[in-house]
Amino acid sequence: MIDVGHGNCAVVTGAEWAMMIDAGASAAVIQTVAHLGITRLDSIVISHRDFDHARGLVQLLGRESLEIGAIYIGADAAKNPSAPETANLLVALADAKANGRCVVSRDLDDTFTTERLSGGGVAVEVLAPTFATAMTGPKGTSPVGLPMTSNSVSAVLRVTLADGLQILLPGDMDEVALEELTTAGADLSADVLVFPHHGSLGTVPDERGFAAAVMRAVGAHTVLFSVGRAQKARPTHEVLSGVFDINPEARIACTQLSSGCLAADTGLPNESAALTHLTAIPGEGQSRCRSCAGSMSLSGVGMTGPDSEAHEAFLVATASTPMCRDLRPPLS
Amino acid sequence: MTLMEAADEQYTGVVAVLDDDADQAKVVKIQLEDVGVKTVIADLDEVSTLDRAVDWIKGNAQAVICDVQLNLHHVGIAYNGAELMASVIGDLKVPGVLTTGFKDDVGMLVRPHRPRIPVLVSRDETEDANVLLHGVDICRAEIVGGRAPDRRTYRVPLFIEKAGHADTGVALDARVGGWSRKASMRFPAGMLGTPYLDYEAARTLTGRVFFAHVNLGAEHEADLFFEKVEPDLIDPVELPLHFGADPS
Repeated sequence: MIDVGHGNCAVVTGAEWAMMIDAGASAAVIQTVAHLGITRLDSIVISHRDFDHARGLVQLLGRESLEIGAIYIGADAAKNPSAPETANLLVALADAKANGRCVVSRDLDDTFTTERLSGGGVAVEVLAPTFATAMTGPKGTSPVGLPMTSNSVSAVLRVTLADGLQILLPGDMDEVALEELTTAGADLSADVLVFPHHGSLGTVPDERGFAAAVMRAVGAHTVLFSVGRAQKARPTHEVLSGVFDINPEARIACTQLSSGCLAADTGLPNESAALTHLTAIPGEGQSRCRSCAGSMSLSGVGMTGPDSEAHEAFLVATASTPMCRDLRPPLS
Repeated sequence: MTLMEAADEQYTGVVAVLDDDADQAKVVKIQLEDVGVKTVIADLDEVSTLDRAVDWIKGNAQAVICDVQLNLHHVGIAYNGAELMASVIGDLKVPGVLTTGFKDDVGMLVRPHRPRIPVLVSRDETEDANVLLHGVDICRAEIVGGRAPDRRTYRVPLFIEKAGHADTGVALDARVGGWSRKASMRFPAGMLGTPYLDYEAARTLTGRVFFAHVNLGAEHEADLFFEKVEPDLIDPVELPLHFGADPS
């Protein structure tokens, strides 16, 4: 998982195969592709066309030496094609299509067969949006009778690595999508959860209850938050409390150091060289010393980088109010 | 050996300083000499043309610190600092740092030459010799080994938001596709062709998109540059008409 600040981006690799799930707005997206020596992405899945998930797509298309098999983009609320961000994205995608560079499709729902996205020994399932939800679209009414936003139609993907580790990447899934999935009895179980919407859903009246419901459905032992320090403090206390309500022993890691853990920038390390606990994977927060766990690597039993003890030592030394420690209930 | 290291070892090379503000030139000279770097201030009357300036630097210095504005406190200089540094770094292969005290100059005077100028330093920072010497080292590294990752370019669309008048000509503001910051980049409209030196012609570009190669790794708008501009000006509203079939 790449630290792109406020946004999401994950690179999944298998035997002679690679894909990207979401492409947030950070130079770390293309830097990571170069760092990992990736010359081909078999597919890029954008959970929904919000810019903290999609802007990096233009970067990837701009790297002309990168082969791309297919791009699948989930729907989003109406956007003006003559607005700068949308225009640039549309033009980049039209150019890629016109040059025959890759397949570009807005077709992304749970009717995708597992084989369609999987490869290299890695299985990729599209659990949401359901066909009915995707057909209805944002601003419609979900099959469970609730009003939908663009987050309600975010793609929810489960990746099963060759070694068996399961990771749930739910994009910006909200309570409407969760309600639909759980009502339908969908299996959302995974070892690792990338918590939806960067650890806070402003539209959810009961964030703690939502977080607990997500954790009950997923049962993850590791919960990751892709957050930008410049944003409001995320994850929220309510979300973390909800996570701990279900699994008090869950390992927590955030890409950047939340302002809820250290309010003033004056407490940040002075030089990125001091962030010795970070992986070698590029990250948005590194140059500005905003990283917490930074970009993370996952395999086998869970998170393999950064090292948990080194990450913990960084937190103890840097964060004045580390939420993942302070809010964790005492273990019996 | 880097200049930073050289400063510790009484580097014997000479750093040339070009600035039409004599007091500012002295400030830079004092800062550098305080850390043991030999410095010479150019007599602007002797380097009134670009060719003369390049020749003078070739014969007198191993590195250059130059301000963008050379004509505010002095008259008769036929070039600006960005034009000079582009030649000095790109052609002479002599490293240097461009300095500026004016934000407006970054877009209109510096941007066209930024592909060849790795380091731009604000005037406030010129009082720190280490910043200047580090900049010279970065520039030398680019001359020898090519662009650093944050200066590598990618082919991306640029959306033209508006045209306007600047002190030095007609300006365009564009949003760079894929760049991580929500900020516009200003540049002279003439970079897209001489017809757009005219404001009314430049105004017709509003809402259009063009492709160019941009250094997406830039942290700040001042460090952005573009090159290899493609001639097509795309109207994104017409795109649905042009979305083709997928490759078979």
